[in-house]
Amino acid sequence: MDYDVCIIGGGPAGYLAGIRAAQLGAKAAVIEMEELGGVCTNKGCIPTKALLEVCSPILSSEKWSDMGVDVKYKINFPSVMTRMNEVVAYVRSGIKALLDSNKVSIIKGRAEFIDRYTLKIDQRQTVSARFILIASGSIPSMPKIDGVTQKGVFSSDGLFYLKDIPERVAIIGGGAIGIEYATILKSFGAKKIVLVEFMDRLLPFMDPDISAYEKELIERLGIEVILSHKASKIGLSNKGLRLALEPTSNNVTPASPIDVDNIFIATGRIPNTSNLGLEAIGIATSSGWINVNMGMRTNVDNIYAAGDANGIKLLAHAAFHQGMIAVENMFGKKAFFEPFLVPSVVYSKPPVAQVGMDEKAIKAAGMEPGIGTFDLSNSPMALIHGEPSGFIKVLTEKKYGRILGASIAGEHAYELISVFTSAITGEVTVDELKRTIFAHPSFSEAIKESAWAVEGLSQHTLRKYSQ
Amino acid sequence: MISNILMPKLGLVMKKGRILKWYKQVGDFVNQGEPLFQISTEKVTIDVEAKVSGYLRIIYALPGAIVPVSGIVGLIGDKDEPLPDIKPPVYDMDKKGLESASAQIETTAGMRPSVLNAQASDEIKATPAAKRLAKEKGIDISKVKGTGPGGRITESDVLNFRSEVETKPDMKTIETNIPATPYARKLAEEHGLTIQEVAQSTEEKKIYARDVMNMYNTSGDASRTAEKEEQMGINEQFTMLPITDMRRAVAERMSYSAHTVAPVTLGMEVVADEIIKLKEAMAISYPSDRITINDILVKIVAMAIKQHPLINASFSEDGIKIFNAINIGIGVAIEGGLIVPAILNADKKTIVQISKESKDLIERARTGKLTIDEISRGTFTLTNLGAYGIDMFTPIINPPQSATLGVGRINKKPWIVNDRIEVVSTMVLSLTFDHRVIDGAPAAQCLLTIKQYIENPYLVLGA
Repeated sequence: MDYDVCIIGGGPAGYLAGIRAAQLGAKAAVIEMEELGGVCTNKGCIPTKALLEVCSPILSSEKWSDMGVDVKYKINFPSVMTRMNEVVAYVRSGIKALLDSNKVSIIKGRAEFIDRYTLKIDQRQTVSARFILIASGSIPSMPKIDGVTQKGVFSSDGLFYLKDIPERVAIIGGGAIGIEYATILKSFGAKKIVLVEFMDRLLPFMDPDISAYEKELIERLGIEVILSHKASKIGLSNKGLRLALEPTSNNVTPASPIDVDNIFIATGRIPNTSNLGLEAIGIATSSGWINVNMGMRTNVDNIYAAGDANGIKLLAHAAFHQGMIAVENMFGKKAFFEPFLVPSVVYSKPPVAQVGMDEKAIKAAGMEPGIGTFDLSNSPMALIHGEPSGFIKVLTEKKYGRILGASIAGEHAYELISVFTSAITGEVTVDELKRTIFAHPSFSEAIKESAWAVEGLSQHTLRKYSQ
Repeated sequence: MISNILMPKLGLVMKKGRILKWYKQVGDFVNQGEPLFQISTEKVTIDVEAKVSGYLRIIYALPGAIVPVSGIVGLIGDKDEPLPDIKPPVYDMDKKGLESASAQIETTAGMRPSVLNAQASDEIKATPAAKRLAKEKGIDISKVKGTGPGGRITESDVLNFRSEVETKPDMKTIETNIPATPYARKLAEEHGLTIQEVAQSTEEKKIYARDVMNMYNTSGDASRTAEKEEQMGINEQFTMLPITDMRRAVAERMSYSAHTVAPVTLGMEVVADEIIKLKEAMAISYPSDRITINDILVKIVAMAIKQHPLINASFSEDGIKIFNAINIGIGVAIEGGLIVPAILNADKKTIVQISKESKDLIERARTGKLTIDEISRGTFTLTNLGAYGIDMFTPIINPPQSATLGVGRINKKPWIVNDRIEVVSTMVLSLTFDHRVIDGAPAAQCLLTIKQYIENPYLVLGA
């Protein structure tokens, strides 16, 4: 055997697994056919956040003006893209340095299974390992829409190759990617943006209150939202593309076709597992997603799969965690993935975030939910920041006060949510949060208020008297 | 030769048993094969026979003791043979529902079982006055520390002895020093457990809710909460029925089911005329077998499952197990509870065979003579409440199974056949399935197959 662990894919699941394996004393190799860092570093989390960060001054110039500071800005789009690429390159080189410092081998090439212990790399070499972790990730899916191959229609990767900002854009898919893309394109000057969602609300898999907040936010930016519609046809108009829409529900008036310059499709992703030779060694998959147990093991007992490739949660932070779990299970520790503990975040301006169970899930599990909501319009820090909108909502199992979930809309949501994630992980109840001293002023003190609000006793909310 | 008397393993799933009574006292002679003690497991009560002849020398596990499989419950050997110097095992006690059989040994509530050795109490050095006082106050004198000459326990030692209840503040300090999550502490309190005992049951450094629930589910002490509430007077206005082992087993399984599976029930009304005709025809062909509708349904369900194997599954951490064997559990109401013996490989048996086995299982269920394997091997459960006049109901899944079929009464009603009203007999089927394992469409297809077989029962006859 050449290695103790071979990892296919150098994205979040893969490179972290390499480091963790080295920490446990294993000889490990990461095989990557493109760039280290995977979708997250190269075509996902990192570049989009680099772009969203420079949107902030643009989107908040009015706010600053209201606060007495007139800010003038001029967008130099090529420089923005250069800077984005610099950030990506820097993060990528950091991953290489981390792997090197842990003495994890990096093998460049495309891997394919020969047998359950051996991989062929680019037809040129074979490597063998006691354990193999498949962390080959996912790629954007292009739905079968008539005309989807027209010039000017992009998958979600298209954003990173833009030379300049299109005037008129349609984005298909009202999930996290669609919303973030809409925010970016609007900030950089797109005149007309239409966001099309299949379901009857944006972010259909998040708390309905989050969906409502996000819709208001997006519309406030001047982005048109069309719900309960899907793209039926992409044709040409005299000056660009014409997108025909079809309602997905009988309760809506069919929307008219939209004329745009570009269309971004952000409707979902498919597993990147088709060229790995999985069938040859009998690894079970469902529509290409690799079947694993919650310890990340496949049906072949020395082979594991982590990250997007197993389709459990397509999020980089879930991938990190799964990569770690997979390696720990290889070396005798017992670790299990709990999808329930993975936070979801949308980096809109302001952002939204959610973790754990929502009200419906708590009820479905046979528990009585306790709900405490604190409105950020009552937060002095939100007022100071000039963005007193949004809320913090905590959900509990009422009987014990155990925290089961939370959703946050407002500034720093993606940071604040981690307080709840650790509370759920540590089986904390609202009683502990009620007795935690938060700095004042801060956004996070709203967490404490939400905990008190479960019993209707948030001290910084106007008291309602019943008769 | 001194040999160990062990808690027997009576079935695949048995992990521990509770001592109900001893038929012999220390010092009695017992013949090989003679009943020595009686135990109860989750569902059965059984006499355990002596494996060898000899004198019962020591009883380690008193009535009420919960003993893991292969745990030593006593020693048997020659009359005057020296006893090995071993540390007596300590077992948890659960005295609920015990008969007065334990009268032979006086134990106070909460007392840990200890060695019952004829000499044991004599070996404790105590003044006669101290012994009398201890007896009056119900104090276990072996726990009192002597301060008299040579460690002898005096009357004042007994007076100064603080019982466990009185020392509770100290317990609290110990409790809060053991790392546990806030939720785990609340759960433990709610279930009448101390964090200390949970800590002893697990190797984890920090106590999480799952450790509390593991302890609670395995210790068989579910009644503690009730006991505690009773002490606090909360339940004084109620009549408390004792929780029998049977009731507790049913309750635990039902609440486990309700808390873990995601049940969905599908209902379907089917025409029962053909199945009634079949039963009548079989009554003529096999007069002595008294074949019931339920016997035919067992066969039909088994054949339908054979076509839809996903119904015959179980959800587990590692994946969804699809059982190869089709073992149909039949719900039998018995005094004080419910038991679900299974007809193994029902798909491979004829209706006549099923009928014979079923009668035998029901008879033995009612007389408490089923083995543990017979009641734990089911992969799907069939419950028929037709005899009680029930039209439809939502049965609860019996974990680790993933589905169960409830059958209602057969009832005559007007039915539209080819646009004409006819009188037919119908019954309502309710298929409850675990949506974590099975989706609605495959469950519906299985139910549809069952309906087709009920309406055309000859389809299963040849199989």
